[in-house]
Amino acid sequence: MSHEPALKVEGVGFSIGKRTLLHGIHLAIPAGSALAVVGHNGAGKTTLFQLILGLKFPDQGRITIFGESSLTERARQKIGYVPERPYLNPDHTLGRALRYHYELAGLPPATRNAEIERVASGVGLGGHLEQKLRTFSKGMLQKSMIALALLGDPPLLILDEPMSGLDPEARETMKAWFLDWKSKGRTILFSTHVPEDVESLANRVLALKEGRMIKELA
Amino acid sequence: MNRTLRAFRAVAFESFLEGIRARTLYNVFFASLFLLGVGYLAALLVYGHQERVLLHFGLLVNALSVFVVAAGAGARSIHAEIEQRTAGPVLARPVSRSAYFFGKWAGILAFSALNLALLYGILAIGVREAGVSFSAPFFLAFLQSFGLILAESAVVSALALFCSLFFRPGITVLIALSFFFIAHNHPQLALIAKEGGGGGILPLLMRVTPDGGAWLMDLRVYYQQPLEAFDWMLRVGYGLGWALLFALAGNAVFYRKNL
Repeated sequence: MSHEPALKVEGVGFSIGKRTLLHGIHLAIPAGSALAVVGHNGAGKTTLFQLILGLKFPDQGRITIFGESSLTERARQKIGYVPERPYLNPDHTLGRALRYHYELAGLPPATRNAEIERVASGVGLGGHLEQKLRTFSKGMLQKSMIALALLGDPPLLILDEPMSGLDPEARETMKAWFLDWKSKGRTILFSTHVPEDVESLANRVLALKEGRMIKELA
Repeated sequence: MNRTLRAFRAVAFESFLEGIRARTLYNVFFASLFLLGVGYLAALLVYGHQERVLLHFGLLVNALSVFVVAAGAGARSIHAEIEQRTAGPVLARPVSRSAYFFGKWAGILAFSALNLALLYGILAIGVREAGVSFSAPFFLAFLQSFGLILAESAVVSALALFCSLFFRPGITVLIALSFFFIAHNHPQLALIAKEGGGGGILPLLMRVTPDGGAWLMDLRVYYQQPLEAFDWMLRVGYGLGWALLFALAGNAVFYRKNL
C-alpha cells in the first residue's frame, strides 16, 4: 500500500500582477482523513483549491495528488470537486449533466447508466434525472454538484464551502454524508466558515489569512 | 476510444447543442431566411437574369450568415463558460485543455456546417424555382462554394475563439468581422497602398490576413465552372491552414490560462 499523502502542497505561491494571493503554502493530507481550511472571505481558500484542481497555475511550488502532479489527467481522475456555488448549465437536465461529466471523467461506457443512477440516488435525486436544473432549489443544485463529484467514486473530495446557503435539514444530511465518506476511507479537503463543522468533521484544520498559513492544528 | 477523444467528443457535442440552443443564432438563421426571401422578391422585380440576382444575393447572405454565426459562437463559447464559471467543474475533470479547446471549436464548426447546409438547401430550392437547371457542373460548383464558405467560417470561428480569451464577446465579434472585411478587400487595399494611402499599415494588414478572394465562387457557380479538384482542395487547405494557425495560437494561450 502506498504511503504517499493523498494531497501534498509544497511551498505553493500565486500572484495576479503585483498582488500576491497565496504565500508559500505547505500542507499534506494523509489518505482517509479530512482537512478543513478556514479563513475569512478573500483569505485564499478558493484560490488554493483552484490551484490544486489545475484551474490556476502556481508561480512557485508543487502540488501532488497520490504522488502525481496535480496537472496530470491521472491525478485529476482521483478528484471529486464541489465548487462554492453550483456552476451548472441551467438548461441541462440532471441526467444530461451527469452523462456529460461521466464522459469527461473517462469512465467505462458500459457502466454509465448504473453509475448515474447510483450517484443520483445517493444524494436523493434519483427521481429527478429528467428535470431541468433551472427548476432545482439551491439545496437540490448543491446535491447535484455532489452527485457529479461522486461519479467514478474518486478517493479525494475537494469541497469549497459545501454547506453555505443550505437550510439546517440539508446541512445535517450533508454532515451525515461527510461522515459516511470518511468512514469509507475517502480523503476530504473542505473549506468552511462554521467552527462547529470543523469540530465535527475535520481531523485537522488549516487557517489562512491574507494568503498566508497562520495555523495548522490537529 | 481513449479518454482524450471521449472528452473531445463530449465537449464538441455540447458545443454543437449549445449552438442550436442559443437564441441569437436562431435569430441570425431566421434573418438570413428573411434576406433570402427578400432576394427572391428582388429577383422577381428584375427584367431577365432573375436567377443570377437570386444566386448572387443568396450566396452572399449564406456566407455572411455563417460568418456571423461562427464569430458569435466563437466569441461566446469559452468566454461565457469562464465568466459563468461552468468551465471550472469541467476542467477539474481529467480533461486536457486542448481536448476542451478543440472540442469547442469542432462543435462550432459542426453547428456552422448544419446552419450553412440548411441555408444552401433553401437557396437550392429558390434558384431551382427561378429556373436554374441543376446540371452536373452547376451542382459541383454549388457544392464547392459550400466547402469554401465552411473553410472560411473555420478561420473566423478560430480567430473568434482566440480573441475571446482576451476580449469581451462584442469586441471579439467586431475583430472577427473586421478581419473578414479586410480579407475580402485585399485588391482594394493594395490599390490604396499603391497610391500612398493608409500609411504603412495596409501592407501589414494584408500580411496578417488571408486573401478572402480565394474562397469566393459566386461567379463560377453562376457560369457553371467548378474548380479543378486540386485547385479547390488547395483553397480549402489555405483556409484550414489559417484556421489551424489561430486555433493553435488560441490553444497555446488557453493551455496556461488561469481560470
